[in-house]
Amino acid sequence: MSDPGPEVAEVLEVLAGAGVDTAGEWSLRQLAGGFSRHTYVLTEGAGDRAYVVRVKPPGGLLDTDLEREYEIYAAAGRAGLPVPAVRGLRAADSALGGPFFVMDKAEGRSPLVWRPRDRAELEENWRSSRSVATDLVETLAAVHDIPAAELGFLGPPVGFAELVERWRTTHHDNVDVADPIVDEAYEWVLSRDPGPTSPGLVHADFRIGNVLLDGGRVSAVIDWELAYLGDPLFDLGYLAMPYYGGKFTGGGSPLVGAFAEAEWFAETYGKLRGVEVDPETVRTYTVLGTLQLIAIIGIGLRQFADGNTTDPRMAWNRFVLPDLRQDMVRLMGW
Amino acid sequence: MFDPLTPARLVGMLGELLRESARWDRPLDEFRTSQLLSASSVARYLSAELAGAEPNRSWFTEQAVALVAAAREEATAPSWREALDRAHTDLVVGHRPLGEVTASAARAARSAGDPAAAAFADRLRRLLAELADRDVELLTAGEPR
Repeated sequence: MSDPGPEVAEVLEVLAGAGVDTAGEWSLRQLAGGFSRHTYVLTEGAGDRAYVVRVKPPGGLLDTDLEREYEIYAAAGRAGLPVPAVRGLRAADSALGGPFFVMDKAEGRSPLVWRPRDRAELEENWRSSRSVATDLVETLAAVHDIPAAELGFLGPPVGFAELVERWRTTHHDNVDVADPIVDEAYEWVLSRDPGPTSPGLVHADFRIGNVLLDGGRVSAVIDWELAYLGDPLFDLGYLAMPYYGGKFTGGGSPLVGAFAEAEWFAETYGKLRGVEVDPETVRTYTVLGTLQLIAIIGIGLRQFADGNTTDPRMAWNRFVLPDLRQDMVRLMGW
Repeated sequence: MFDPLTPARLVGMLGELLRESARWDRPLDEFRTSQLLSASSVARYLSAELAGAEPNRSWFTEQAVALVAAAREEATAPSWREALDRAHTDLVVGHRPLGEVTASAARAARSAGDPAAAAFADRLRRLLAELADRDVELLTAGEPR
């Protein structure tokens, strides 16, 4: 067997520790995408066996806890949700540039809603079988129905005001250009506290781009690094962001996330969970979700400006900001 | 108009990336390819932004000055009147970033607690909404052809 290099060797060590037979010729390749995590696929031979490796790199977008993300995948898997099974974690630094965990490679691919062909396929699915929309609403309801008692490792639920302040502080810590639209949007959101809610697992980045589709069905929900315990309706608002329906310099889908009509999604979700979905609360969370994305982009731009990363994708995100501002002012009815 | 990371820094990044790419001695993998495509996209949108940013800025400043001047005529509360005077000077002299001046004026209007200030805040929001539309419109010139 040829020397696979230290990166592959370290990943195989984790897999072997999980009882996986690691005999064979393995290779590792990095996938496009991923800002806070770098994602690699580890493949054996011609691709008969494959695993995904999630690495927390230095200079990543968000300093989120990898171990916590690993535990969330494990908990979601135990709850029967479509997530890749996790195999093992290396909490120490590694040849891959940071700690990592290994999970099974789920079949399918994530649609890119800003690509007209992907958007058209999703819209066609809505007009025909609605399999994507049905799977997604059922999956989201199931995510939110995981008993909070099984998620104790996430700590106490995050309240509305705390959540808003968390992102506002993140924004101001990283962005040194005053933005009156962002400032006013935080005030608008804060004035619309939806009141007490029953906390559940919030994915916090739930969108079609964080889902794998295989043959028009949801095969996996991925990227759980932002998840927390809080008001589940955040995920509905976030999903409704025009940007995640493919809007960029205009355009986009009239459907939520490019895959379902907003009213249908909210109504079906409400029926599945036996809850009332207040459209005004969803609107509040759509603006807050947009502010969250603006804050995260701000972190990336700051890291780029400080020389902590040379990844041009971080700089590219700057050009998303005008659309996000436009979305917010429309949502707030200015 | 209120975006962090200056055009100068972006152009510097593009230069560094071109230099690195000229020295790249391995086949491009998926990750590297996506980075180069992002850089190309940065160049397109930056070019569109540079072509239209100044007219947008001038238009916004002119509108904001008129808005503040009109509000000064109606302002009665001393603290609100002072805030408007400050905003007017800042906008005319142009020594403070536009975002900062506008954000301060919006904050002052919110805390003034009188109907004239509330009406000003509404008009300022409408102006900001129009600016948001113009900023997006400006970038459409950077769309791939």
